[in-house]
Amino acid sequence: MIGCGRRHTRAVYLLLTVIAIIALIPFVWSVSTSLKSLEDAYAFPPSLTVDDVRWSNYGDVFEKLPFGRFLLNSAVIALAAVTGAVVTSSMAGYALARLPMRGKRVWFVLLVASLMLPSQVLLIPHFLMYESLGWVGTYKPLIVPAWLGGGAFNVFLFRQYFRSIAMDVEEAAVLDGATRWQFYRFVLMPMAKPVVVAVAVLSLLYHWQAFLNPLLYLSDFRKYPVSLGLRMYQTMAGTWVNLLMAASLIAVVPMVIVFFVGFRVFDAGRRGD
Amino acid sequence: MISRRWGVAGWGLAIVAVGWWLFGDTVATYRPIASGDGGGGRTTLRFSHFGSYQDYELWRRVIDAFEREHPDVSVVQEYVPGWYGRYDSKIRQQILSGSLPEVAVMQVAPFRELAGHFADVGSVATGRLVAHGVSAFTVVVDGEPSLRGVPVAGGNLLIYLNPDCFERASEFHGRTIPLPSDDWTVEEFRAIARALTFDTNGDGQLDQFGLWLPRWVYYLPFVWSFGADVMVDGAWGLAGSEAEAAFAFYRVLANTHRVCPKPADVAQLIQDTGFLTGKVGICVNGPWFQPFLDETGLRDRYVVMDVPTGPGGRATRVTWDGLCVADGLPEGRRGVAISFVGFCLAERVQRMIAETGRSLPSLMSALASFDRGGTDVRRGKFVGALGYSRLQPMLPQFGRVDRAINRHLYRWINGSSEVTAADFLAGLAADEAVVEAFESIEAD
Amino acid sequence: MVKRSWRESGVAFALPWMVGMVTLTLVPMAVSLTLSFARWDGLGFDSIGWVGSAHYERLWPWSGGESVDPRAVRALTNTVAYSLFAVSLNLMAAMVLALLLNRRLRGMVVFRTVFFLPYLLSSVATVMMWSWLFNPRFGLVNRGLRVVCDFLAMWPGLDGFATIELPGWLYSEAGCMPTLVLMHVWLCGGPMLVFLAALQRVPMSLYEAAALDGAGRWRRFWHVTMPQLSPAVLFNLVIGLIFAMQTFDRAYLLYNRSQNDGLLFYMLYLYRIAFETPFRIGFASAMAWVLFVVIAVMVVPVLIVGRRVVFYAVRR
Repeated sequence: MIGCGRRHTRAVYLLLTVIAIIALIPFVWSVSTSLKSLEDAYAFPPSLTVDDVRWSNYGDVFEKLPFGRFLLNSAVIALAAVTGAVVTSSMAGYALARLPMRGKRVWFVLLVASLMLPSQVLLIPHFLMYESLGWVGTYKPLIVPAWLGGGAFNVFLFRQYFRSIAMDVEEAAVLDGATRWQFYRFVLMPMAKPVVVAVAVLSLLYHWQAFLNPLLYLSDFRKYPVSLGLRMYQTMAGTWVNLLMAASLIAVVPMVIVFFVGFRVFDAGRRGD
Repeated sequence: MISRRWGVAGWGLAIVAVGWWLFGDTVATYRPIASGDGGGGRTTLRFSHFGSYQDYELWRRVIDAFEREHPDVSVVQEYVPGWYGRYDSKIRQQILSGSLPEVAVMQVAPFRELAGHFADVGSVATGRLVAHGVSAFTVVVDGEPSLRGVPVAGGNLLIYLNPDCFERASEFHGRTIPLPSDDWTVEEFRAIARALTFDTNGDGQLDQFGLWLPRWVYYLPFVWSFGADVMVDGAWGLAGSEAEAAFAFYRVLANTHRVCPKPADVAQLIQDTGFLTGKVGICVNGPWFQPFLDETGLRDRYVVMDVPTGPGGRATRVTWDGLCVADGLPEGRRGVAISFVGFCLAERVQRMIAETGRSLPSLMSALASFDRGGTDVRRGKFVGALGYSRLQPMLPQFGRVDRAINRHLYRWINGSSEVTAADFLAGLAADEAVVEAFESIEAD
Repeated sequence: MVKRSWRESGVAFALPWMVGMVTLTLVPMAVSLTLSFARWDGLGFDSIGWVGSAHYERLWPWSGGESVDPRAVRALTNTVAYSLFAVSLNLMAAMVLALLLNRRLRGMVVFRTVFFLPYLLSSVATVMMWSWLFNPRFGLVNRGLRVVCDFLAMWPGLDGFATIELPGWLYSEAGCMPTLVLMHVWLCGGPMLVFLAALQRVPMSLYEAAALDGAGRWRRFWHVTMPQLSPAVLFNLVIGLIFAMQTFDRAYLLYNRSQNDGLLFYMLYLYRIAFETPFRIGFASAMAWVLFVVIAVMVVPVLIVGRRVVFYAVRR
């Protein structure tokens, strides 16, 4: 960042390009497979080039299944859950990082402990609880937990970040007569923009790709998210891999857009530093 | 002041709205009269099934037809994408929480473990069902046979051949490698699999293979051909010279002749795509393979052949999917569930199942719609093979034992050649999964 | 300090999380701890049978006798070894990438997005590509290695390289785990993001001051960048270890029959026991608690050491 010579810059670019190519191979792979006929997709040995480009695969994705509906469902679930995760995990992170609280050490130990707990074990107790609440078959088991802390990981991320912000910032705000809520809302959160973006984007990705929970809690086909829809191109006998790849790419487009936007906010936060 | 009051009202409204969203369903669940049974209203029936989008479409059509005939019933289609493991887990969760759908499609193996949670549906079954299917869903309760599921669709295993591989082999060997005839023997099977296996470019590595190595369930026709069996009189049966011969043959195919590709030889291809691409010439598969092949260029050319005969005769494995009705339903709801099941056994619904080509219908008279006659002799072979099909052995704790058998089998063929078939079978019989599974029957 | 109302207290801020903690974590944890002393097939509560500590004895390799489950022990050693290697290499790669990207040059936004792409893409595509790249017969990796070996074999004394057997990677019992470690290194986009977030907060003034003191590139890295990055390192290390110990889908998707139990991860084995028939929920719960303890044994010392070493702006 300081004193980058010309040769040095060129070496950095070269290195980054090589890594970028490696990172892009599976992406190119998916694109090429999504444009092939089923036989070509399985041709042996495989090739990245497509002889007979079939754009119609993308149409088939929507024709064979209500894929548009799946996308919409995923968007509803993910947005509701991500909002909850950002709001409640940042609040908890603030409390754990800088506020006086009875039994704070115990709560922090619980936070770390819950991070270490393998989530599969909680599946059955959770299912019984949601069933007794009459929530099975609705989106609530997928959304409500996000509003109750949004995952130990996110709380932990916010706590770490808030701890690294100097105490005098808060003291100054309090001297100006701000309440803690005002400080949190108007000072802390804007300062934490990079973490907000990171938490939002990572938990968006998590909810977008979640498979096991929707599978357990949803039964109605019309309520299914994309992650379940993708599995329907697999049959007991074989996989329509070309359609599967086309559908996967369609599903990844919103994520790529979010990332581009997210990074811009990230950069804006950085310039403001 | 005014704005403050509005603020309070706003918060109140928001809290009520969120509370309603959160607990509205909860209240509905615990309301004394379940809304579905309300007098005069439509009865809702939950129906769950598994599979691919083709299965989804099939059941959608069946439900539409049923609802047209029964305007007072609305069927909720609960569809789990996937098979055995995932679907089975979900059904078990629903049993535990008391939310089992009124009607569920079940495969035989998981059904056997859960049979106690389903109601007797003997009243629906007609004498015109394929016998294998009926026996698959019959369990003994208090010494009396009881039908706890109605078979609707099934399938048996036959041998699929890719003619392109035969052509390439003929070219390579400089002599014609003819397609076999339906009365072939396991020795002829071995010879053909070997002839289909060769190294095209001379780099010392095989490029085309004779056979896709079957999982043990798909190898059952051969186990039986050698006169062995997995279960004998309710006990573990894989022991003795017949069983050793059957599995020695498996190992010869996989290792000695190398007619079966190792995973590294075919990269990420699976059985179906290995066959489709002509990387392997032969695979053992059921009718459910056909809808997939019918969407490929191999559509008009693939060949289906009967199972070869061995020293112990000829047999193949058949398995069924059945419709099960949840146990303990109130009378009215049970009646609706039973009428839906009965509807699925009607001639025209059985024809709809037959026409997908993915499974045989269970109604004898509908079998003709699966076998399309002169235009496609392949389908007829599946119907014909019902004559020598045997029901898949009803192993206790099927899922766990199934995995244990495959694990032992693969470890054996991956490992040292000094371990004999007898050693392998002894190791398998002593495996904790097998031992505990058979102990569990004795405990019952 | 002014006395604050309840609304201003830490509890008010943490309340939603605390409610979630109790209802979604503590209560289910208690349930699973109780179940770990029982045998249960998950089909109705009357089938629960108490077995005492039998499940734990099966997981304790030194309890002797035939009661030990050798596959569970294998799964645990596989998982621990994987986590240690995969996480340390993954963090190094992530830090290098973050340092490379953290400069004001054109196109960095594009590179950053590209590096993150593997993270976004569906696991099916990723897994397919990996099984191709690392196929011992056709894969790019072994073809490249073969060229290198042939070249080395041309030198005197190195002719052994001509006949050397190349690794079987994903298609062998010994090679599958190292391949998965490599795959984890490749997926370093997540920790990279955290490092970048931390790097961007390092005040420029610190570098300027260091430069005035005549510190070179390395000294600046060790004395300015590293202390500022240390909270991010601790975070990534702890989170990385915890997640790696719970590796599941990759192992699930990359299975092939040549591996024997080489890719048997602990969570994979646990999942099979809990949710493939017959459900053995009691044993699975005991396995989960053992994993919990193992993770704690790995992570808690890191946290304790971290508290002393890590540089925080907040000092009390």
